Parts: sequence; structure tokens; C-alpha cells
Amino acid sequence: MKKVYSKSEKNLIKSSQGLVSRNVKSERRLKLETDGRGERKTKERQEKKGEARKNNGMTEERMKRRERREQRKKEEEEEKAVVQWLKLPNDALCSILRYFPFEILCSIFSRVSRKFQRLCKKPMSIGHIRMDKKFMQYVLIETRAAEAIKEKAGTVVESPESKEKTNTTALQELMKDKSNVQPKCDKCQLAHSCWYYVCS
Amino acid sequence: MSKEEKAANESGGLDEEEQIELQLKSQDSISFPVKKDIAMHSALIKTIWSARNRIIKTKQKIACLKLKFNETTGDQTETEIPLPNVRSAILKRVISFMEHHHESPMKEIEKPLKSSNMREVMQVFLKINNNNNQRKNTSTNKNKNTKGDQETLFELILAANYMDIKPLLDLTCAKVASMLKGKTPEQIRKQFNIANDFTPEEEEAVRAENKWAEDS
Repeated sequence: MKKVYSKSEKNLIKSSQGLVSRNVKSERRLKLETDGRGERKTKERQEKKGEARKNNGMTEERMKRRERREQRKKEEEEEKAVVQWLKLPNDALCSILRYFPFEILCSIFSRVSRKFQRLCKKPMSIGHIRMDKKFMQYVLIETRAAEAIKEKAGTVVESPESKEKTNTTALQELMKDKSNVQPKCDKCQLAHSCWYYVCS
Repeated sequence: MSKEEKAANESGGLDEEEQIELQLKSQDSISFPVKKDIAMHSALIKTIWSARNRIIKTKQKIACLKLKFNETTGDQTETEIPLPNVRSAILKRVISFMEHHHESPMKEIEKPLKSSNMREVMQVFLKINNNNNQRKNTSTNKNKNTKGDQETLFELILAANYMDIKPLLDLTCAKVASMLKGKTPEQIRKQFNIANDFTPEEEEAVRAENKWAEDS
């Protein structure tokens, strides 16, 4: 049969256990102090307490931890706050690109990233630009351009440097021809490069 | 004016319809009363409203009771239009834009942008969007508000795209374009938080392909 204790009896037992444990602790302390280790520890404790009093009840380690936590929080908040413009729908991005001339789309925006390169070629972003299709073919399809250059120049191209030179001269000639034929735009005046905006 | 509208004018039903106030319900379930003809600047609201009208008319034609219609629509009132993708703060701004440009429609922004200074456009923008108190804040806490402004700009673009309000989309996109004008690819990457996914060889190839554009 188990003995059933009343509340007062239980409290007595607990207090006696507590006394025992306290006694054990004090014995340990005495042992440590006699060894010499305890003195160091007590000194360290006292020092820490002193520091804590100076830093409003916080030790250096705690202060560092807190700073780290705050830094992490700040970084997380900053990451959240940064606007991620690429999450915009493609239509919106294309309508942003519409405000730039074709030269800038090709030279700057197509070098930003692959997605931008794709967007720059979409009809939504270059829809407002009227193009000369023949010129496009001439510029984009290199083989045909090379053939045309050969026909015009009447020389065989050997080195890559000379190839570039002949390319540019032939293109310039072609541009001149085109600018003579095509009407110039009063607003943007881009007829020299065979690109012009529909201003109406 | 379309034939349908003319017919509606003749029948005399339009005057009543113009006075109708629609309740635009935001993401956080706050509803804003807006006059019907102002709300019609949004193509989304226009289509929702016309679809709803068609349903009502067909229901009336079939001589169904109103109770039945209410059963199908649930607790929603007939004038309530839910916009679950738009926050109330943004919706407020969108409505003020629509109200401002209802009487004086917005002029088309020139393409390509001639300068990166959007002050002239922004003045209109600020008049609509910000109160005097907010302007004071912008002058005092520039660093904090630039981020906030970008966020609101971003959300405004999303809202304009969702609600299909072309002038607002044009204006907001022009603002973003002005932010990007005259910047190098690297600066654009920084601004848009984009990682460079080109290999150096690919980048050179792109540059070579578009050499004509760089020369000009």
C-alpha cells in the first residue's frame, strides 16, 4: 500500500530535499575554493556582474548576440523592402521599354540579362518603331550582307579587320541611299539610320 | 458613341445609370464608392459591369424573380465590384487618378522620353496621389520614402495592369523609364535587382551583334 501524504507533509518533504541540495552545493563550493579553481570562478562571476551593471544588466556576449540578431533582422527587412521589378508582368515591362529608342534597346537593354534581351525583341516593346525590313535583313543576316558587300565592293575579303571595314563602308553607303529615298521624321530625325518613329 | 449607347440614350436609361455609385471592394475588404462613369475608365470594371448587366437583363427576360438572382450572387450587392489584387491604399490612389482625369483626359507621353527628369509628369502625379502632409515627409525623410515610393509605384503598375487603365499604366511606366534613362547595363541591373546571366562570351556576342546601335 502506498502512503498518502497530506499537503503539509508534502511541503515538509520538499523543503527537506531543498535543504539537502543547498547543502550539497555549499559543499562543492567549499571543495572548489580549497582547490583554487573556485576563486577564479567567483572572480569571473563578480567581474561579469560588474560589467552587466555597467551595460544595464547585460554582459558583452549578450550584447554581441543582440547586435547580431538586430543586424539579421535589418538585413531581412531590407531584402523584403527591395522592389523586385522583374516580377512585373511582361506587358508592363514591355510598355516601359517602349519609352526608349531602338538603338538603346539593342545596345544597353539587351545586354542586361537574357530576359531583357527577349523582351527587347518583342513586338510590344518595339511596336511603335517602324522598320525598314530590307535594312533589317541586311543587318541581321550576315551571310547575305557579306554577299552584298562582295558584289558592291568587287573585292575578296580576307582578314577579319578588313572585313569589318568593308562592312561598315558598305552599310554607310546603303544608309545614305536609304536616307535619300525615305522621308525624314521631323520629331526624331532618325532617318539617317533607317529607323524612325511613327509620330502620328 | 456606339450604337448601343445611342439606343440607351434614346430610351432614357443612361441618366439613371450614370448616377449609380459602384462599390469597389479592395483586397482588405474596404469598399470605395465611385461614380459609374468614372469607374468605367478601367476596362476590367467595364467588362464586369457589362457582364453583370447582361445577366440581369437575361434574367429579367426569362422573368425570374430577383430572389433567384440574389441566390446566385450570394451576399454581394449588385453594385459591388471586388478587386482582390489591389490593396486599399493603392485603390484609393487609382480612384483619385481616375477622378482627376475624368474631366481632363491625360495627354499622351512622348516616345521616346526626351529627358530623365519626370518633374512635369510627377507634378501631376503628386497632385493626385499625395496630400500636403506626405509632401512634407518626402522632403524630410528622402531615404525612407524613395523605397516607399518605389513600392507604391510598383504596386500602381500592377494595379493599372490588372484594372486595365491605360493612361495610368503609361504614366507609371514612363516614370520607371525615366528612372532607367541614361544608365549603363550594370546600373540597370542594380536598380532592378537582376543577376547577370550572360557569360562573358555571350555578352561580347550581343555587343558585336548590336555594334551598329552603339556606334550611332
